[in-house]
Formats: sequence, C-alpha cells, structure tokens
Amino acid sequence: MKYVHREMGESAEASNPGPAGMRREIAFLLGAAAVLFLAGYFAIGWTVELILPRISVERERAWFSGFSLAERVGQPNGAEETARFTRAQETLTRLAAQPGVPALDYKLVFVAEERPNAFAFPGGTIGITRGMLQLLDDETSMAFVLGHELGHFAQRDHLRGIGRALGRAIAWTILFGDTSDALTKNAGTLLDLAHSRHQENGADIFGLTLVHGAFGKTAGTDRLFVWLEQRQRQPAWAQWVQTHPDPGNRVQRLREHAKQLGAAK
Amino acid sequence: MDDPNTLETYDWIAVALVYGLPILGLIFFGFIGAYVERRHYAALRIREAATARLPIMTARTLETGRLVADARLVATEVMISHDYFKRFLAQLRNLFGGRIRSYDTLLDRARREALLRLKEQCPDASIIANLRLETLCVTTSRRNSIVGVELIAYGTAIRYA
Amino acid sequence: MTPPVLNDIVLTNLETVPGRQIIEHYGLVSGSTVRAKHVGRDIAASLKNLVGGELRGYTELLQESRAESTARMVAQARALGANAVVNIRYSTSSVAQGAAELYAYGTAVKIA
Repeated sequence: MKYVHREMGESAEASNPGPAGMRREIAFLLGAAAVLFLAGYFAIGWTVELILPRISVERERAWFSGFSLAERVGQPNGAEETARFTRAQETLTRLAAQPGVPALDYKLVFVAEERPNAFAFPGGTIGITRGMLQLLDDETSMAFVLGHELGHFAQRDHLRGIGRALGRAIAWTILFGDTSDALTKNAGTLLDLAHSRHQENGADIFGLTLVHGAFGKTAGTDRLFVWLEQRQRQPAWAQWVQTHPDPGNRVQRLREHAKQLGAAK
Repeated sequence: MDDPNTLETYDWIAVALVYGLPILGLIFFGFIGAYVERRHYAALRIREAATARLPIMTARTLETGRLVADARLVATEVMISHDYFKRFLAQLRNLFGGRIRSYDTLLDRARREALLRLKEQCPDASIIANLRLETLCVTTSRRNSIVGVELIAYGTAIRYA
Repeated sequence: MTPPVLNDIVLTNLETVPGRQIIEHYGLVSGSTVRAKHVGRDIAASLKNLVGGELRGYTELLQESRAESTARMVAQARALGANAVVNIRYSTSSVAQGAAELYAYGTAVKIA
C-alpha cells in the first residue's frame, strides 16, 4: 500500500480539553469540592449535636475518671503561690456547689507556664497556669476564670471537640484512604475556631452567673479584660482566627450581662 | 485568656503558613506548569512540522514491489511529570469520578515527544512500521497520586531503495 | 542509515526482515531489567513534579534499562546461533512498590 501525505490540522489535538475545557474542569472540581466539604462539616456537627445529649454526665465521669495530665502538671513554688493555689481550689469547690454545674469530680491542677491561661479537660480537671495565678489577685476574678471553665463543662464543649475530631477523621478515611494533603486536612480547623468563639461567649455568661450566685457581686470580673484590652490594641480582623474573642467586645458583653444580673437581684 | 501580645504575632504566622502556603503553592506551581506546558507544545509543533514527511504506521504490510534497502529497530523512551496543581485536580476527580481532564495533556505530550524522538533517530528512513507503545504510570509511595508517565515507543525504520 | 545494530545481529519488530529470508527460527529470547522507580525520593525529580516537564534523569535511566534488556536478549540469541531477532516487543510493568520491570522479548531466527 502506498503512502499519501495528508494534513490532520486541528483534530491532531482532539483528545486535549483545550484552555476552555480546563477552565470548566477547574471551576467544576473546586466548586464541587467546596460544596462537599461544607456539607460534610455540617453533617458532622449535626451528628455530634444529636449524640451529645445522649451522653449523660455519669457516663462522662466513668469514661474520663482515669484522665491525667502527668506531663504538664507541676507544683506551686513558694508560700505565696501555694497560698493562691489553695485559695483557687477553695473557690472552685464553692462554685462547683452552685446549681447548674454538672456533677463531675472537679479538681484543680497547677500548670507551670508563664502565660496566663486556664484549661478545661474531660472528666472535670481544670488546669491553671502560674501566669494566671499571678495575674488574678482577687477572689472575684479568679472565680470568674474558674466559672468560665465550669461553663465549658456545662456546655459539654470538650466532648464536642472530641466528637468533631473523630467525625472528621472517619470522613477523611472514607473519602481519601490515607492521603495527607496538607491543604484539605486543615480546612476544617478554620471553621472550628468560629464555633469556639460561640462556646467561649456562652462560657463567659455562665461564669458570670455563677460568680454572681456564689459571691453576690460581679464588679471585679471585667477588671481582667480591661487590663488585657489596655495592653494592646487588636485589629478587628484578628478576632476571626483566635479562639478567644477580642477582649474589647467581651468586656462590653460582660458589662451588659452584669447589669442584667444586678438589676434582676 | 492568653497574653495577647505573644498571641498575635505567633498565631498569625502559624495561620498564614498552614492555610496560605499550600494554596499559594498550588496557584504558583499551577501557573508555572501551564507555562512549561505551553512552551513544550510550541516546540512539539515546530518539530512535528519538520518531520512531517516521515510517516509512522502500526501496520506491518510494506509496499509491495519496492525493494527494501535497510530495516532496523528504533526505540525511544520518555518520562514526563505534571505540576502540583494538575495533580491536585486529579485527586479531586477521584472523589467525583469521570474524565480526568488534567491528565489528558500529560499523556498527549509524552506520546508526541516519544514519536518525535523516534522520527529524529532515523531521519533518512522512508517509513516507520509496526509502531508499538508501552505506558507505565509512576505513582508516589502512597499510591494516590500519579507523579508521571513513562512511555516507550518502538518500531522498525524502513528505507526503501 | 546503517543497517543492523548490536554487532551484526539484525533487530526488528516486524515479523520478517524485509529483503531477507528467514531460514530457521530458534524460539523465544528475552531480556529484562528491574529498576527503582521511586520518583518521590529524588530531589531533582520532586522539583520537576511541582512544575511539570520531562524528568531527564529518569528518561536516561529508562534508556539504560532498555539498552540493557535488549543486550541481554541479543546475548541469548547469539548463544542460540541466530543472526537476527524478529517480532521484538517491549513491556513495562510495576512489580513491587517502587520498582518497574522492562522486559524485551522476540523470536531468534537465522536469515539468509
């Protein structure tokens, strides 16, 4: 058979999608992926909310009674610090006796860190740092911080966090096997931060109410926030990515709530 | 209730790195990859125009009556990889199914490059007969994303007397 | 264009050697090499993986593998007393995690 030369022209690249085809592909894939992730995120959140009320406080106690923070726990140094720590423990016992606080075995542990911070761990353990003990020298502010952490327990926030992380891990394994693409793995974390802000606000209110109920006054609590606010000026957009709301707003909200409580009394 | 001064700088750097770096990487390498691809295609078209007179066929039947001066095996290989963004698109495709359009050009480029090299190996041949292609996909150790394709092309270069 | 390569043994992937006649054939001859294809470990290749393009190092590796497999096949043919190998085919396959085999096979014949 004889060869005759012919030109194919454009159909030589018929198998390629071309620039228009690629644009459509990118738009479809990114759009569909965004929808899928959002749907998955809300589905996980909704499932966790559904399950949470079915976990009674007794069950939570049973599950987490053995929880310990051995590696971070320290001992208070010196007489002054020890005295403050003991006072904080007494305050905690007093607040825990208030109505509305779930019946867990609360214990206070000392964390040897310089940054003022307080943590709530599953099972009723509350950690408080050296920095926080030094910062709060009157009973009302300490009571507010402890009350805030008790608020987290009342809202079952720590369980929520665990449930969501679990849900995310399961969904991830189902969809991807074990790819770890750094981008998509962290996509859920940003949305979780927003959830945390809502939780923090709720805990604030709870803490304030507890303090009011136990001590009958709320004047000292916002001193902490005014002090924090004065230390630096945070731009409004920084609020979005931090787990704790901008102290300025917090102070405002707390003042309003305190006024309400005072008026109701 | 963290110390706000330390919180700001540290947290912002962390956030920027965790979210920003992969996204920026995708976009950046996507553009570079598109540019590299365009340049390759331009070069391919020029080389194809230059060697258009040498035909390749998969058939084994040669022209009857013509005397064959030489016949020898010619073979080439090429391995081509794709950019980060196109691989990411392919991973998304794995979720939804359907045609993985981002890989079409990868295979097209590999094939055309291999065939061109075949032709360039024997410029004075009359025809290359019995073309065969072998493709192998090279994946990462996690077996979820294709890193590149390797292609072997071979045939017999015939020179008529 | 010089005819046969590889020291006077004619190689072709057609069923016959055009212009010559096959007198006898000696059966299947083959050669194979296995090479590591773990592209992810090579730093230069990883950079190319980000922007796309040809991985020249691996192309050369492939070239060597192919030359090696073909040489092994030809050695077998020579041992059988053949002077040509026809109907040559190449095949690549993934044999294990990170390894690929290149297999060359054909029929050893004697041509007139």
